[in-house]
Amino acid sequence: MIRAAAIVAVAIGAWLHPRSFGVAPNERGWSQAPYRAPNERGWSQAPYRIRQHSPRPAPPADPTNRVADDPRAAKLGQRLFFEKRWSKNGEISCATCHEPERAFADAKPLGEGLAKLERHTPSLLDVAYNRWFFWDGRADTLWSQALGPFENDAEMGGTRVGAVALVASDATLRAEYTALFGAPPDVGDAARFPRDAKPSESNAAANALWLAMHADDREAIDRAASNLAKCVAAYERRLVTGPSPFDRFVQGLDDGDPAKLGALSPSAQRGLELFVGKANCRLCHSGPNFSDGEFHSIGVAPLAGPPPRDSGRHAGAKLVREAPFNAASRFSDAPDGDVAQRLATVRSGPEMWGEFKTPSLRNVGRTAPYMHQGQFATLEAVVRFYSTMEGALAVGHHQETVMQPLQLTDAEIEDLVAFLRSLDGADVADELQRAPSDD
Amino acid sequence: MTPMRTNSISLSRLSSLPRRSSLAQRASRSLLAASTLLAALAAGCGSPKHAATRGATPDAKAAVEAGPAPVAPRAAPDWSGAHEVVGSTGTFLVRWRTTPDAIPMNEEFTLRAWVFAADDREHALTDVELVVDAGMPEHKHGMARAPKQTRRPDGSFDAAGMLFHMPGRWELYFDVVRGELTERAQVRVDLE
Repeated sequence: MIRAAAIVAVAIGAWLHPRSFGVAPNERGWSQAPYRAPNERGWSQAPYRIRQHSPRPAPPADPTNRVADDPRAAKLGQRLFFEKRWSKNGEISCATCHEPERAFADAKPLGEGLAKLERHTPSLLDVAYNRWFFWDGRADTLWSQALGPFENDAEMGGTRVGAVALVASDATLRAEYTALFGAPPDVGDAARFPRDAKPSESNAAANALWLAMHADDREAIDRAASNLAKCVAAYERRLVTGPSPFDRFVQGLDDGDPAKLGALSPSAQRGLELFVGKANCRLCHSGPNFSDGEFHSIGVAPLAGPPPRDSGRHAGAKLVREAPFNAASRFSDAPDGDVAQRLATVRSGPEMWGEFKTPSLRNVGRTAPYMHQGQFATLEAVVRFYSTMEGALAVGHHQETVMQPLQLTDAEIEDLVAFLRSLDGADVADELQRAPSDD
Repeated sequence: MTPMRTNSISLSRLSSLPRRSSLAQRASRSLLAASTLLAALAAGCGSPKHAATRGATPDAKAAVEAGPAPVAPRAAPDWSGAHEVVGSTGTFLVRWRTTPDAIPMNEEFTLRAWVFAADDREHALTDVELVVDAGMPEHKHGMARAPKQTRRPDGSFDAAGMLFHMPGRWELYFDVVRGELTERAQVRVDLE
């Protein structure tokens, strides 16, 4: 089987390999390799189209978070990630929905915290590569994303005051926090710092308590809460998967190693050709993270059926600009940096209604179900949707028309799925999949 | 009806050949640096000998000292080497360039443009407005960004935060406004 795979790989590899043009076909003993003349650009498009996806560089730095790559912050963040005490019922942590054994997702169509949510829980694997966060991109940094779910009344239902109070009262958390940021605010006076206080549009009581607090106290809590979120982000940044079979295959294209070329089955290699060719998945799933990081409407119907009720990026664009913890805020460590500058150019408009972020395809074989509401249970169902667009909602006259039925054969669907499964990378280290071991 | 004048540029070769293009760009930058240095020296910014000993590489210094006396004390205009496109009714010429030189796929870039009267390509106009935008006509969508557009003191325009987030055919639109006249110049960009 490996031998068969290698032979196909060599054949395709010769087509893809840049050095294969203009050289004797048997230079490496590849007497079976087909020779293809360079196109009018003097280069085949295929090598570049594949090389756009691999190798993947290290995650981009996050200047908005000065402790992003501080191991001490990552350790505290890991502790907080698995902490249940700051949820309203004391039973929910980040890991409740982002389960390490389920690729840091939950394998459910819709997330479930204190209540069922409206969107699918995305995987946190390789999350540090994202440009925007949440399906609608209403957060522009990983740390500001982390501030959302723990206060959301349908998710963890906690409060930022309660979280700071927990850190201040727990010896381990307090010590680790103090080493990074100095002592947390003195929140011992519960009348001055009501544990149930938080800014909220949906929880009037909590919001009233929050607004009744002195502005300086609110500022101190916001500062400490953003510090905690930066620690959670420092941990989540470490959830980077290892090379996938696809990455090994691309290495094989470079060095001609048959063993590496055999990392992709013949079916997966045909799927790769489809991905960068006829199916043109690379239009949106581009780059080493297999995502353009931006927002598109693919017309998939809501779980509850049409009409679509979730405005997606239409609202997300406004929310991220106005977010109190965005990259340009006073809580950011780079309020004038590139991410903050990007905020000033965020576009919004009716054409963005129902657009959702392009998810990465790395590890996609491990993160079923798919789409922003988990509408499809399997990868095959996803590819069949793209093939026929059956059930897709008609686009309005403002919406983009990227999506066209691919009209794939059953064999092509099988090949494409085989390729997608080759994007599963080596799992993150065991010690990152549980609370720190010194507990 | 006057047909729309469209310039076409393929950036795929530059952007799709990182190794070759980086070498080419390095060579280009070296040439540019050398020519800029020579131009600066020729323009007489201080003592040529002093300038040469301050900033020139040994080769450049030798070239200056051994070469003929400066004859053309005129620095290249900022738009030297920029792309050019004429507007739809032939009134204006737009010169433009990007930073980085090759428009990158799905990475932000800045575009700088100058507007000229089509029959006077030596003097950039300062009494016009310019709006830069882009889109993918085949997909019927524009950019995912609304670039921040500013006029610089020298009359040029900067559009910062441009983003071509997908490969394929893009169109760059330059809408020049002067009084009641609005003229569009557009350029086709194939991004791989």
